[in-house]
Amino acid sequence: MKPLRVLVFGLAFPAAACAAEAGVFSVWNRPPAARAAERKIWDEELADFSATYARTIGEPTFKVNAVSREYVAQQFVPVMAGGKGPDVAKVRAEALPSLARQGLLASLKSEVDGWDQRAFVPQVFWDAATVEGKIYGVPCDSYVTVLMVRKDLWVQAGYSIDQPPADWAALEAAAKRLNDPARGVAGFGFSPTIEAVGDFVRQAGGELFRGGPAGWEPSFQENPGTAALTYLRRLRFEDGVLQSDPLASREELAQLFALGRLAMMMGVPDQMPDLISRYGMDPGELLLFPLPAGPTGVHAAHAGGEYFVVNASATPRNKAAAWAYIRTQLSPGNQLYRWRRMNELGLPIFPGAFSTTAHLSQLPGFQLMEQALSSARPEPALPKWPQIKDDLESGVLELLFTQADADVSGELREAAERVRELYL
Amino acid sequence: MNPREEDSRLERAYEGLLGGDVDEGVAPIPATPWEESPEAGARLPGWGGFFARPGVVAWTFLLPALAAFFVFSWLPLLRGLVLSFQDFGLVKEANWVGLDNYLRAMSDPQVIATLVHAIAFCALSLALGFWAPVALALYANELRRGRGLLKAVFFLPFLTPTVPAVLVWRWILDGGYGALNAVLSLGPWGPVRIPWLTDPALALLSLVLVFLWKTTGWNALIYQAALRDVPAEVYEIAELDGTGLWQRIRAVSLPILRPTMAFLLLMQVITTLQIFTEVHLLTGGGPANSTEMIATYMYKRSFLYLDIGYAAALGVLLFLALLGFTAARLRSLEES
Repeated sequence: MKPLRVLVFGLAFPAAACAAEAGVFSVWNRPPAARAAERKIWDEELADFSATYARTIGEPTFKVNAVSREYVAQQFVPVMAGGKGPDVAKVRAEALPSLARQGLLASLKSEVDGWDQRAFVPQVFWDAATVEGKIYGVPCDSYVTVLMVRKDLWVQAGYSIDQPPADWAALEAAAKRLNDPARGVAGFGFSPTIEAVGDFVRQAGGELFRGGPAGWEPSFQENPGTAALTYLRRLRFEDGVLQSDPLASREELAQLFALGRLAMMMGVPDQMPDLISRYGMDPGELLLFPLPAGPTGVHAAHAGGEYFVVNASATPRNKAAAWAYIRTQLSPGNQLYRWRRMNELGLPIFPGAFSTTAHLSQLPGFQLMEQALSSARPEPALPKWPQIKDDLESGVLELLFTQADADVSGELREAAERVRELYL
Repeated sequence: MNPREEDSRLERAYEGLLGGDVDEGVAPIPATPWEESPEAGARLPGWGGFFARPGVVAWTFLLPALAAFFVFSWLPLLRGLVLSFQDFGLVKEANWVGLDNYLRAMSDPQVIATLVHAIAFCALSLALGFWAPVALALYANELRRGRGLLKAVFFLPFLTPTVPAVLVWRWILDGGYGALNAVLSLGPWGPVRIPWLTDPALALLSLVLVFLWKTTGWNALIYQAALRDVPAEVYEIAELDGTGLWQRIRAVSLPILRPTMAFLLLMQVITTLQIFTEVHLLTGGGPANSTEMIATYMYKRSFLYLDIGYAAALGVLLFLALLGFTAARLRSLEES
């Protein structure tokens, strides 16, 4: 009889636990324990939301389950598909379209349309969250690519801190002047990812892909693409101003930059916490400039970041709570509260920590974002974007950045054929 | 009691156990009830009777291990086999596609390229590293002093966890600030900037070097263990006969090591064809896919492209290839 009791209890307990959790509102974007100060602010915000929301809906037992999990596609997709996903999560911009197409996300179009902050979010971020006419996410931690410069090296080289390199020629000249192999300092840090190359392609007047959901066509193999890669390869092979590892990742570049081994790098403001807290860089040594203009005069950057999304299988009660949570998080009042608490706790203030609605409000030091946003674009929302990205990076960019004698236009044409045949 | 006396005492004891002359002081092992009479054991009351049945105790001890093997090895293996015949997505329903995934693999140029890389990696690691552990073991065997220290030194890389070790190697092999280039720059030729990991021509060689650094000590230890089986008298007689070091190695040590060498050759081929961690962390299959191996390609197809059925088919093909190679090699060893 005893084994039977054990078996019944063993089976019943998880079922009871699941039943108890069924009515709980769950959120998946709690900062990990290692980021204690950030987590403290997040917990304060959540406690405030829970209490206020419970009072508003007249449900004192309203409970929020806060989970600290980063978005990892291989984990997130099966959990969501299995109906065990959170009600609200944060996902990266480039992942959103495929999650929406798989039916895992709830449409937020009616909620967003009636939101008083909608107009304050630049259209570029709504474009990245729109799939087949419906909005599936609300931008929260957004960024645009910028030129990060070490102030000490910049000033030593005789430049003024309010004179960013205006165009490709100025960037090349600055990289040459800042490059100092004897001291182990490289002039310019560049990680050959398709997004970073894409910015230069657009500065040259082109696009990586043209079209839309009705049909995409590769266009990176056209003249602007060739011009952008020829320019970047000149920095690497002729000028010798890029970092020693031509395939260094963005994180490796950040480390070299913080250590003073890179004078400039292409980056995003979201890297500031890592540069300051993790690698010990003095925030006073960091300059953020808009990316230089290409031959067409366009200062093109790309926009990305994270979006709040709501689970398609959330109950109506939890979907309502999810929208209330998102609205509260992104409200100007909460953004200002976060800004004040970050100052009090000594956290680095960086634009990505705030919603795009706050970027355009009166927070000091964010004018650059406003300027960069005017020409920024999201990554193309191609159905097989992760595959295309890997194919182009490992098959073409790695070759072009490691082989001095590679044929740029030939490689790009071949890659375009392959992408068209395999993925589009 | 010296080791030789101890050995002969044990030898006599074993003879006794095996039915020879029983040495005084060594008691024979009593027979179990079911050895005396299986029926007698089965007649014991309750659980005692059940466990007294022939084979029950053995199966009871084996069962947890078998269950663990079934759940964590055989079941995934069978599931992988099933997946290889399906178009499987994380969200959509799985569709049966017959041999499509296998036919795709046969015509995928990337699969051919990964095979070429894997064979090149295997050949390079055998050419550069097959004799190194043999030489180390022979050298350690000849040492009169410091043998333990030498063994500890060459075994240390094997004990180092792979992931941090490989990350340290990334720094060592960096083309700009790497330690290897810094050391080489001390030479009379001046500063060098060899792109160990970012030149397609050098990346594979760098991977082989890291792989050999990691595995040589372990292989040397196995050879050392095989050499310890050679009775000291054999070497003493060889020395009395006036044989030199090289003759001793050629006539005594190498013939004894031959079965071990055959086994380790087989293991090295299997390990190199399955290599993943070093490649994934050092080069990620790059630059320009020049170090993409079968396992890293499977990983990408599975977890990046979410082409899980196809990745499973690649896994099954690799499994069959290794099974075939192992069977053929074992048969040739048996024949020889």
